Amino acid sequence: MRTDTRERRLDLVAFMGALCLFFSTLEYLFPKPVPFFRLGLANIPVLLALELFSPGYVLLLVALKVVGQGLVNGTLASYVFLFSAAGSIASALVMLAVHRAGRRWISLVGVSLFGSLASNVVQISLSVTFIFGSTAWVIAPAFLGIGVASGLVVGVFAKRFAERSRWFARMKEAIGGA
Amino acid sequence: MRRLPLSKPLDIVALIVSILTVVAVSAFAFGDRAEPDAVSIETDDARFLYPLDQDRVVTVGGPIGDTLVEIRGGRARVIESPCRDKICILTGHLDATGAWTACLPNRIFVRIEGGVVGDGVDAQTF
Repeated sequence: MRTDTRERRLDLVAFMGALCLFFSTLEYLFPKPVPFFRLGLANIPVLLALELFSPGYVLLLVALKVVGQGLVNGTLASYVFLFSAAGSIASALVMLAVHRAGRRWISLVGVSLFGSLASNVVQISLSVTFIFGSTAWVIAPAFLGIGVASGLVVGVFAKRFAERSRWFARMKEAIGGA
Repeated sequence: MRRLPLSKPLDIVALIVSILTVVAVSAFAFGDRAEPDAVSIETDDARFLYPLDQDRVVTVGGPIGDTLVEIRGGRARVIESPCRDKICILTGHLDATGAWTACLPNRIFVRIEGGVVGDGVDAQTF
């Protein structure tokens, strides 16, 4: 019985990893006014996962997402991949922390905002330190500003989905929730 | 029942913290309010400074070719670039301190600086 739930969870993580890949591809639909602009649609499955899984499974999903995005964007073998991985991991840890700590006080919208902030702060710090030097500061405000907007959009979408989707409710019931 | 997206207290805190971070970083990045007087052009391995009051066209080499930066009438802009998207050219004229454009594929970064000419050079000989 126990292994059965475990298998279901792994199946669901795999499915949501595939969703991350799909969302990463979907991002190509949106025009890129500036090179570093990203909506972060692939964070929707991660946000939903927070409500479904224990931290270990969430991190597993984030690992799948990072590798999937590297493949889709063609950055798997470049330094951009390290940036994206560092950002995703930082954001996952922050989101896990705030989600666990304040479930009564914070919804997926706030979790998404904190996650987006963490990811962007880490990526900016890395680019200031390793790649562009202090000139990266000039790009930072736009980068962070876009991050707030996209974090909000993604968070609202994830929250609405979690509240309304019957599929999501069924999954939550099937695997026992986080 | 329809609820507001920011229905829980920490959601609002998250939004405020995010906005404050953007404001703080903006203040840090654009805090330099000196009069614009120079154009800084950075490549992978060098940084060039040109006074804003002398008209010229600068050719800078990058990994995918030459980028042309025009300085004219106290403004600067990228007029030619080998990159695909031409975002650097579309940015248009730069004339305020801190204004910038970049050609990421060619690894070239153009920025207007203030308070450089005058205290940047100790002496000039001809």
